[in-house]
Amino acid sequence: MRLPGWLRRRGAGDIAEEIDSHVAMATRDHIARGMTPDAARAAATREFGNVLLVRQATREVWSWTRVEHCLQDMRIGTRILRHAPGLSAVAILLIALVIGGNATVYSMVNSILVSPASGVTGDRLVVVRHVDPGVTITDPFVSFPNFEDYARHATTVRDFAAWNTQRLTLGTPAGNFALFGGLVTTNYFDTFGVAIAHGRGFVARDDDAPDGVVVVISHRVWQERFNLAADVVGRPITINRVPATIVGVAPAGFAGAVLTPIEDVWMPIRAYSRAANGEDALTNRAQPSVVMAGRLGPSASLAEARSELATLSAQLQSTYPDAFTTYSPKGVVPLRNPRAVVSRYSATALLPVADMAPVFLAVFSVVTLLTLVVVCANVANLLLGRAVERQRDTAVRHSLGASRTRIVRMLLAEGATLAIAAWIAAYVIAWWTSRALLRIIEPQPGLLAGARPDWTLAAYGMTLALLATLAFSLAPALRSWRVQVLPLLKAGEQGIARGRSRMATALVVVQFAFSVLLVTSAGLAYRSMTTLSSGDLGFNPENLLLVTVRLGGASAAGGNEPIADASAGFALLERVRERLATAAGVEAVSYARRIPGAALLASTRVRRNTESAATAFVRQVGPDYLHTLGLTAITGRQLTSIDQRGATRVAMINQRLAMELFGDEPPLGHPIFIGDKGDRVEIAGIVPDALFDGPNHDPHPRYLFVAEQQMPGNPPIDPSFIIRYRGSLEAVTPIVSRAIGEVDAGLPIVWTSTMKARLAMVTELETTIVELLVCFAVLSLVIAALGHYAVAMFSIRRRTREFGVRMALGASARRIQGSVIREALVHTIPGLVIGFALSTAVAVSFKSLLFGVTPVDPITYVGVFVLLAVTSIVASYLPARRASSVNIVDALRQE
Amino acid sequence: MARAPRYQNRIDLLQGTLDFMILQTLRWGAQHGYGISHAINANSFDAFKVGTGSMYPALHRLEKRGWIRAEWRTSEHNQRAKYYLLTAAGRRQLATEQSRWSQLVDAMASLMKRQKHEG
Repeated sequence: MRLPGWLRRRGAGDIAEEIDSHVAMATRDHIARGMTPDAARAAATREFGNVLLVRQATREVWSWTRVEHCLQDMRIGTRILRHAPGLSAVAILLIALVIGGNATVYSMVNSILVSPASGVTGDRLVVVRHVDPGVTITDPFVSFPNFEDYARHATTVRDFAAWNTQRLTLGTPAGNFALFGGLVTTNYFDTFGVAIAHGRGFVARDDDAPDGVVVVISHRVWQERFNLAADVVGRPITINRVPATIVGVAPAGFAGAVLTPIEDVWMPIRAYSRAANGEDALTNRAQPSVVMAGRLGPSASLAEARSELATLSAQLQSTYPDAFTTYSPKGVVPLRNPRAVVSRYSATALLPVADMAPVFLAVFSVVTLLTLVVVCANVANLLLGRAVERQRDTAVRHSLGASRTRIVRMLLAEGATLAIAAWIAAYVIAWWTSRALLRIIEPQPGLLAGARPDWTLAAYGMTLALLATLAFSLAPALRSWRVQVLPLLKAGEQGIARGRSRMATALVVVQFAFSVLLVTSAGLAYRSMTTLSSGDLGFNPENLLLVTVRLGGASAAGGNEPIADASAGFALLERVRERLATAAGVEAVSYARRIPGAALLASTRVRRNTESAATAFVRQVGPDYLHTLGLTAITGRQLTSIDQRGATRVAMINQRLAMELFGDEPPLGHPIFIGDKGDRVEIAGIVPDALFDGPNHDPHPRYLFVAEQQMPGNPPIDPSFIIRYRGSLEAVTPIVSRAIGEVDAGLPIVWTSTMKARLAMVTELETTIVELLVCFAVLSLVIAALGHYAVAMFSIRRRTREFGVRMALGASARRIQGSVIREALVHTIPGLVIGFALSTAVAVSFKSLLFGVTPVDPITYVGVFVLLAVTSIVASYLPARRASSVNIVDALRQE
Repeated sequence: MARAPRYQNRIDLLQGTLDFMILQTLRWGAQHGYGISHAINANSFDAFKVGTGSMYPALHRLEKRGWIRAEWRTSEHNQRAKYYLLTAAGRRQLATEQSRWSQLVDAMASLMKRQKHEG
């Protein structure tokens, strides 16, 4: 078959042969006219002209010119990797670092926003929320009757499931535990495609509860409360004291369809509501109580679903004027112009973060663009340096007839080559860092499980790489556009680069200043943190178990049942403490309102008289608190069970507070007054100074302890028992859980922990900040060093001749190197000065966050100075060596 | 690589002139590149010095357009050479070109005559 002309191609061989035959025929003619064969051949060749050019021009007729030029450009582009490996490596590294870093953050955010919850496998899932244009809210909650109407009438969305997360008390023989549970429609697991690991999920008849309330428990509960018992299915439990039966175990990792809170049990909403006397919540159309999700029908689009659901919501609104309501600070208020919106399901689609995401992404994009600009400026400097070196080359090509567009395209091709290589490197970096980051900062297991690099990350990186290519190769390319050919052919190496150096230098100075700031901050934060966490607590944190319980149990509404009788609550605390004191493995036990690791520490004003006052942390504690911590009173006595309601209200103060309020006077027996109300307490004992709340920025905190049992008002909602135990934690924890359950079934355990773990939480924020600062500092230092290198290299290349002349005049290589490094350091010094000024300013304003170091900590500053100086010297040494290795003859010949 | 430099002809050829001359030359039968360039140079009394750098690309351009086709043959001197032949489309194109050229020539001739009279 004959191909159409534009598809056919001519091989280079064919054209070459044709030209050869032309020359051969011409030669023959010349010989026929009497020339010698040699002369004839020479004449024929001369007449023909430039064989290569003709061949090239003829070939181009056949080539798919554009595609071929492009391929050719790319081939030439890749030559940069071979001919300038150092430069390429630096450029690739720079781009890869910034793209990789950004892509990591992007992929994490993206995966939080679009990933389904762990264990959810269903696709085409959508969620329905309601917006009220007048109130600017997006409310995920609907009333159960509204949900039923949607489920009945919607055709584009099917398998509508609804659920409601509640705080519940799970009652087991091993103890009672406070946790979140989902009240779900029976199709919940099917709609979300959750594969039940053991037993069964729910079926429609579970709504009628022929066998009582059935429950599916999470893998975590199965593991932690039932020790992965094989016969867990069929066991009886209680949910908020309602008897129920376990029928299944959810797959490991599944904790509800929404990211937070983490659900641990699920039961059919109709059956459970009936059993718990909460049925009216299912029939009250004005009470928003459930959220809903469904599956898009096989032939329906998201847009169709949106319009159908919007119509349905309008119909509901006209049929039942008070159908749509929302929670507000004033209680449940009606929505005036509600409209249903359908969006794709993700683990966060029903959370407020779904509304905030666009803002975050906008801010993040701006930051990304800024860093990209800085890095591109660095890479442009690198390429510009190379462009200088190649000006002659470019000029020669130009004079040989290469069009300007073609030269610009070649420069762009080089850029694209670098960008593609960088993109691959960036992907590797992003893949690695996101894995590493997950290990460091995963806030809770499974939260970021989906944050693995995927194709969206690759696409994102590609977009950035493309932008970068355009940005950093266009500058040199455009410069070459304006190049005058003739002067360059004569002179060689000047021209292009003039006038650029000032801006490039400024860039280096700014980058250095910025990395000084980051490195100094990281250094100060690190020194501060190590001092903070290495400090002596003043008590022994080993072998202390902390069990937080919820007094009064959990109510069905998710709030807390008011304690009917405050004194009953106080009495319950004492009963539990007495029971625990006799439990096996328990050496001492007390309780406290507050344990280390809480976010905020508020101090209270404590007054001795009108002249003498101080602020102190006031802590309500149970009997034997000090003894449980392993401490004894220095003078006087500690608080014990004799300090009951009705007796004189007493307090213990620590040495520091005693000294501030009483100086050298003996404080025992003196009254002091707490807070604005001036509650009067009598000092019964002095306790040693210790960091009762863990590491503190104030190394000498003031403490005042009062007896919980003597406090007016309500007992604490979430008190924690502090238990000093013998033997292993694993042995004592179940004993304690069971013992608490035996005393009262309405006292669920919220969670258990150890003193060591809680103390680690105190410095957790600081630790994370230090880790992040160190990451950023290293990154900025690398970028600054590479930028510095780029500028130094650029300036060296421009001055090849100068070095040649100097060396010809007798300057030694060492001298040249010295002068180059000195020049480079001139750029570093302003950077260092500005950077140190900035960091001092920042450190002084954040002084309160520093611990044990001053804002001008000499060790940190000297360290940073040395680090930056070494970095700068290394970054300029390489160009310096190159400068001194200039070939004198070559350099001079260009004059 | 560089784009083909423009070869200067003795008379700057109008766009399409070279194509026309090639087609015109091939009217009498198949011919190879060397022959075509000879024919053009001889028939124009060397007024047009057609360089190989223009001619070969032009030949291939015409072939790509389907106005001529090429085949390898053995020449009268027993040499392998590539011969070009007019195709049917090429003949039609030649007819069009001819009428266009004669119009142009007539126009030019009358312009020259008038100038001569006026001068």
